[in-house]
Amino acid sequence: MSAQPSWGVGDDSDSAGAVDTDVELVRGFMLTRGRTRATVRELPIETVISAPISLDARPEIRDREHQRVRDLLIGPMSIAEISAHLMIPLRAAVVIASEMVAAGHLSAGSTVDSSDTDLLHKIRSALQLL
Amino acid sequence: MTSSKASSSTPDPTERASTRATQSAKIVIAGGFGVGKTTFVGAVSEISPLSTEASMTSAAAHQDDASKVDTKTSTTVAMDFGRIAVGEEIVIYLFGTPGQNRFAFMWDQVSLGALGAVILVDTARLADSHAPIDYFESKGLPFVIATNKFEHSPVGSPEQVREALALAPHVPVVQVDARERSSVKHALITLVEHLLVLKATASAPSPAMA
Repeated sequence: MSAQPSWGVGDDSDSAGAVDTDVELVRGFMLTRGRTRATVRELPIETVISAPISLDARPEIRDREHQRVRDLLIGPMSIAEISAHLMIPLRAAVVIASEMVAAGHLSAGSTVDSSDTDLLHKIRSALQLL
Repeated sequence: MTSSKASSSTPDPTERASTRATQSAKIVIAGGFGVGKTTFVGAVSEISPLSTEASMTSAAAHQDDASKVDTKTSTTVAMDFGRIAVGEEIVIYLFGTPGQNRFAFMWDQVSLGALGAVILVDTARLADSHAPIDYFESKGLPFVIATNKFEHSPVGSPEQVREALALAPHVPVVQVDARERSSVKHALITLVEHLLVLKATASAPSPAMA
């Protein structure tokens, strides 16, 4: 096990597997003021989040973590990407993003599942062209 | 606190403002330690695979009180993922999740709502794939088996792999070289075609998709 907390990019392993949380400098729930669960409906990790383009449409945000998330969003980005770029645990990113969307500070795209056959055909064609 | 590898904190702006799509879907890439999940993701992803940290708190999410989370047993694990744009409308995320049982706490969050999964297998370590197979079967999440090419590993025919893993006859088994884009593409297309076949055969509503 590495002495470094595993915030960074993993290699082609599972980044040495489990890392003891004793080495974490900031525990995830501290970023969310103690909550480990959003008080609103939680969005899936692949949900694409975007911030209003117009500065006028941006309400004042006091929470520092919320502000970091909005500042990151110069374009749409998934919750997982927010987590990776800000180096906050996935769980914290889900909580923060879900709450910001619920508060109207950010907007969330829709997620699609395998029940949509047209979509699956579209994905297949796109993969073939890749 | 950051290691020298923490380059994900300063994303390339072109990679960051990645997509105009707002619709998204995900595919799970599961498999044992070192089986090539990140290589697989990187072979087709339009961005260098990113890493996020999933932690035990997701398993403890039933408790609102964070103080009840037993930090002694909590673990964190890096999960690498990538992205593929499908036209301008949809973006697909590929999440590589560790296949070992002790990481099962991550699987719910990653697999919930996923289109399906690719289980990467090293034929020298077939036992590593039992846990993810059991899990996806129990959740009704469709999956394909992709045996990654390793020099040290025996080359089994898909039928031998199917038998060794006790797979249902309808589960596709493909051989991949996770370093090869075309090979990874083929595995993903096999998964999507598998989903289409399942849709067609289960046109009558059925709770079990797999």
